[in-house]
Amino acid sequence: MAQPPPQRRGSAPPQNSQYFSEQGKKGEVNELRTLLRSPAVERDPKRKREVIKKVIAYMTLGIDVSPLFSQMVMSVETRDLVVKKMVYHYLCSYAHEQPEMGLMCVNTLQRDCSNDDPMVRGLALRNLCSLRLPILLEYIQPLLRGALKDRSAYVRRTAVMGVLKVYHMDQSTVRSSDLIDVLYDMLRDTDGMVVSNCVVVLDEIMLEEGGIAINKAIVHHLLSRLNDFNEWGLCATLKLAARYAPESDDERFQVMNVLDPVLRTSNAGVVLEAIGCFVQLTKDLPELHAQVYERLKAPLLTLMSKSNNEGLYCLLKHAELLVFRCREVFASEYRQFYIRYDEPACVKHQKVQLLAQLASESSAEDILSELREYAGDCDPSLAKAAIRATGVVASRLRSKAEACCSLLVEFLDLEYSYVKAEALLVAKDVLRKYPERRGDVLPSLGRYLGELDAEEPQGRAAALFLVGQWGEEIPSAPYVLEPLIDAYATETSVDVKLALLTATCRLFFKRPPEVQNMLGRLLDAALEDQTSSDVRDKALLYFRLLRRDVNVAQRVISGRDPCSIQGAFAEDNCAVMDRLVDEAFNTLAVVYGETPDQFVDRAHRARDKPDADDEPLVSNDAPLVSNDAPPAAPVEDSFDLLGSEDVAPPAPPSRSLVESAGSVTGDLFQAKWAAISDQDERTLRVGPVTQGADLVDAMLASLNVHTMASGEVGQELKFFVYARDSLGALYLAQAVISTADSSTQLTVKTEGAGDASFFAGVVEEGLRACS
Amino acid sequence: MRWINVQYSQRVDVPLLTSRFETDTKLRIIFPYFTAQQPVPDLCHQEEFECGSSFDDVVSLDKCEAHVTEHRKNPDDQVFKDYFGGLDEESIRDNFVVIYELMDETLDFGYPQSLDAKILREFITQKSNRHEIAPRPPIAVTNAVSWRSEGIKHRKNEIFLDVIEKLNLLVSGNGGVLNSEIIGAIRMKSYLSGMPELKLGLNDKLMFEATGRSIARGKAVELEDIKFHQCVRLARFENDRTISFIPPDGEFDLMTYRLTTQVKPLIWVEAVVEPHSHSRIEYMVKAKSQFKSRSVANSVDIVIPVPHDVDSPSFKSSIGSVSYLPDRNVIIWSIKQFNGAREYLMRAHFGLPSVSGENPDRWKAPIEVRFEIPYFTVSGIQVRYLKIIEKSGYQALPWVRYITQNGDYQLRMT
Repeated sequence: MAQPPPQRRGSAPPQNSQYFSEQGKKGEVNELRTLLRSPAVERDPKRKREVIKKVIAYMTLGIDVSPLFSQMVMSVETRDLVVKKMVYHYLCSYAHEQPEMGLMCVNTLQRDCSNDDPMVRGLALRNLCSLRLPILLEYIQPLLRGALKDRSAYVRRTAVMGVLKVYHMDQSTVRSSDLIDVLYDMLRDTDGMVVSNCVVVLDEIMLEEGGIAINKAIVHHLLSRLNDFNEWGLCATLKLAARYAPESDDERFQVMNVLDPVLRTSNAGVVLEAIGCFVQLTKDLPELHAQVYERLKAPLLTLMSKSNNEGLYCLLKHAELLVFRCREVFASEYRQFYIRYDEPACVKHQKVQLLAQLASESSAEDILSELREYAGDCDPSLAKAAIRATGVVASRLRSKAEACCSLLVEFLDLEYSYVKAEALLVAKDVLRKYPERRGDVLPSLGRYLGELDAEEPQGRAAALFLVGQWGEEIPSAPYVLEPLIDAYATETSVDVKLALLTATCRLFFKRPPEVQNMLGRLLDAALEDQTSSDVRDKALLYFRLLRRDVNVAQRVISGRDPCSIQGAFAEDNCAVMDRLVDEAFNTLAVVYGETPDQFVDRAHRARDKPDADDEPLVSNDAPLVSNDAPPAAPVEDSFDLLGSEDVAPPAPPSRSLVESAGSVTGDLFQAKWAAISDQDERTLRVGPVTQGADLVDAMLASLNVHTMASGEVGQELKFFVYARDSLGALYLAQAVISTADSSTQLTVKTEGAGDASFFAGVVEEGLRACS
Repeated sequence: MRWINVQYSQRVDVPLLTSRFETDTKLRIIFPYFTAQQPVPDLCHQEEFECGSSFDDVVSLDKCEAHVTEHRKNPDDQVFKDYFGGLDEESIRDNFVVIYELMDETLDFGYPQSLDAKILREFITQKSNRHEIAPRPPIAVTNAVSWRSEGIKHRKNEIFLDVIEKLNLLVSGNGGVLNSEIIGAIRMKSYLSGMPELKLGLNDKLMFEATGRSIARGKAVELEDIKFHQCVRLARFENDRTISFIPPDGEFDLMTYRLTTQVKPLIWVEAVVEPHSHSRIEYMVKAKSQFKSRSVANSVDIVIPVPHDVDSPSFKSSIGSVSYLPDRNVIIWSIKQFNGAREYLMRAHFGLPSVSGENPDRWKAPIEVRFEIPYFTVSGIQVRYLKIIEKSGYQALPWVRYITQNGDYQLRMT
């Protein structure tokens, strides 16, 4: 089949290219029209079917066959079900373009809706609703109501979908009528298909309210009917169950017992949905968590061993989430995650990442030897992933750091330069975490650096970092740097140049007599460097620092101890993982590794609906800071690197809120709020706040506390505010002012080195002024 | 690569069936499932992950979220395949009307309806001339037992039970078993009339324990994770581990199970490679069967990777035949019948070009082994009984067969 030819309906026919113009096609359409009108065709059902089939084929190809509309409408009067279906299909495709013509087929459809055959009734009703003609609503409504009570389940389930179609044609019709209640009643229908259709339809109609309203009775009823649903119905129902919060622990266990057999179904979608339910149900019960995860392990592993590659990838992504929540789950099953030769790269990468996460005291050795195998793989990206995984194992398990380091050294001795480069990169991070292991790598560092070719700038930059950091322990350090400095002019990588500058400077502070000369040459060359302003600026900064005061320069360039890393690396993004588990289990979001709001277009998103309490009542999405106010850069302002002798940050008491805090939109606010876990809660005692929200707003703004959103809920005034202080710390706060008892609850979260009590003081002052 | 839009949309601008033809004529259908007005995130540009490798991998979007729901049943009853035999450009072209009909029944307004091929078949018949009798909606569509229609009649009431176990194995270069698991399936072919009630008894260890019966003879097997066809009454199984069900008609997988026990590799292969760079390369391959001598492995294929630039192959083997497949860069040693507890040798000799661009380490594919051992299960699972009760009281014949096959069976080369 070819691409649909471009359609230019209504444009003037071209004069010369007759053969290739639409007229040729029109000829075919005309021919079809003649055929459709011909009595001979009318008499012979087989020929008739062929003609109609041709019409549909043209339609599929993209040829405009809408001129045949009236003939096709007439053909709908037939006993041949296949022809009927094809004609219906045609009507659905073109009716919305020709509403008046569409009215012509209503009679037939209406008649079919009362046919004896439930099949025909269902078919007619489905297509009647699919015509997308709002003018037909008055005809559809009574038919739909009748069909919802039809004795055939096939018709009923079609009618339920019909309600949704009507809803999309005219929302108010459905909302103002009792159709929604009828659907809620139909959740008790005897047929599983009807029930599951009701669930999805209600869920979509109630989208704005956060989906179908659920209560104990509905959830328990649906759970008791699980056996009646097909896989899709199960998925829809389980999604509801995941939203449901049981009232008591007994009920929770009851629900879990009902869900347990579902884990035995062989459909990956259903099982994942059930797993999502379990995770949600036991969210607040840490003691149950481990048990539940243990139960989920086996079904997930079984699915993995049966799935095709796409499914496997998807399951591995979900396994990653579970591992993130509870590392012990798969710890004993790490062998299941060994890669197979014929798997696609994406699956292999995911498995390597998981292996690194799963390594435990007992399994680390096996996993490391497996990773060693992968590092020799002929796919460079997999080899690199395996080396990175080695680094992850090292940083996770202190006791295995030694084994990891010796493995890294092994990699460094391999002959492929991408392996060497990646190993250096990883070694750098590992040594930053465990400086005591540097003896393994440092002695041969010079050789590694020399062996790396120009295509691996990252690896060379990492090696240079190590030289700068521990130059005093490498006897040959200056001679490692010298060839690079001499070859400065031919160096192409900015990363390497920057690293070279820092490394040489740091080495200079450690071994001045040997390095002074080459540092001079390097600075000379870098200051003249026309290719990169970054390099030139850095060289200039170093040069001026050194000229002014060597001691200050040393303090700035060598820093205190840039090595020491406590806790996790910043890259381990926990917030996203957490949100994925809670909000997006069994969705594409998990596969993408992004939350839905990051990839679903804003226009298509249902209104954001976090817990109703947190929802800003009045959202000010527009940036609050006007454009003429420059964005605040408080850190640089208070930190004069070149001018002052004292490099230490200014003393804390000078804290004050600065006027512009950068623009914090509703989304950003929520994201930050969710990301910061530490919060400071306090009750402010101020007199009864008598002013309205607007005035409080203005008063806070005069103190440089900006309001992101505010609103009134019953007896409470709610404010979401933020501010930035002179040290660059960002404050986010939620203030709930109760007008009834004049108390104010303030929850403060700070980003950076903020002082919550200082901020609370400012807010208190502001509120007092309003009382 | 070419794209085709089979436009089948009841909503504006939404192709529901987008089929993509790749250069190798393998077809992938991306079958986005729409609700409301949500878009499908750009699936086509996900290089690593292609949603929907078959008709019933359905990608759905719901609310603001996108759901990946894999709708995978027995590969045999994938709807399209079931109708057209295969799925390629040709069959789509030939059957577009049926496809439209199928889509009409399987999806309504973007929501999946009934997707069971057997049920669909009853109201969308493939040959259009069979439509002369107006089809009724099958009772099954409205029935409590959605997988079986009433009034099925067979002249001979028979049921076939195949216990098929696949052995997944990964052996490291130094001979250690890295991972081994057994994926088992009980496949049924049911040709029974009426609404039969079936009960299956296995030598399931937990069942013995649940019923408090002592294990009389033979051993009991502890099945790790069991999954059932939807016809099995799960609640009943949870209570007393009885497998009771009303089977669908025809072929289906009644249950699948998985075991991760250390299994001795049934067929052990060792390859010693002697590369003499730039002149020749020699292989000495030893294959050893490690199952009981009374069993026989049929159609054993041992696939051994070789460098891509070898030439002039010559083979010598004590059994079977060896062939070189230059397009896959492997040699295949085929042995029709491999008796248990035996050991065979094969030698292969290749010439190498004097100039070689490739590093010898670079083709580290594993050795693969394919085999089939009838009348044998690795796990030791056994069907103890299959009771068939139908109200008309006919006598039905159950036939049971055991097969062990290779699954993902890989031995890494040193």
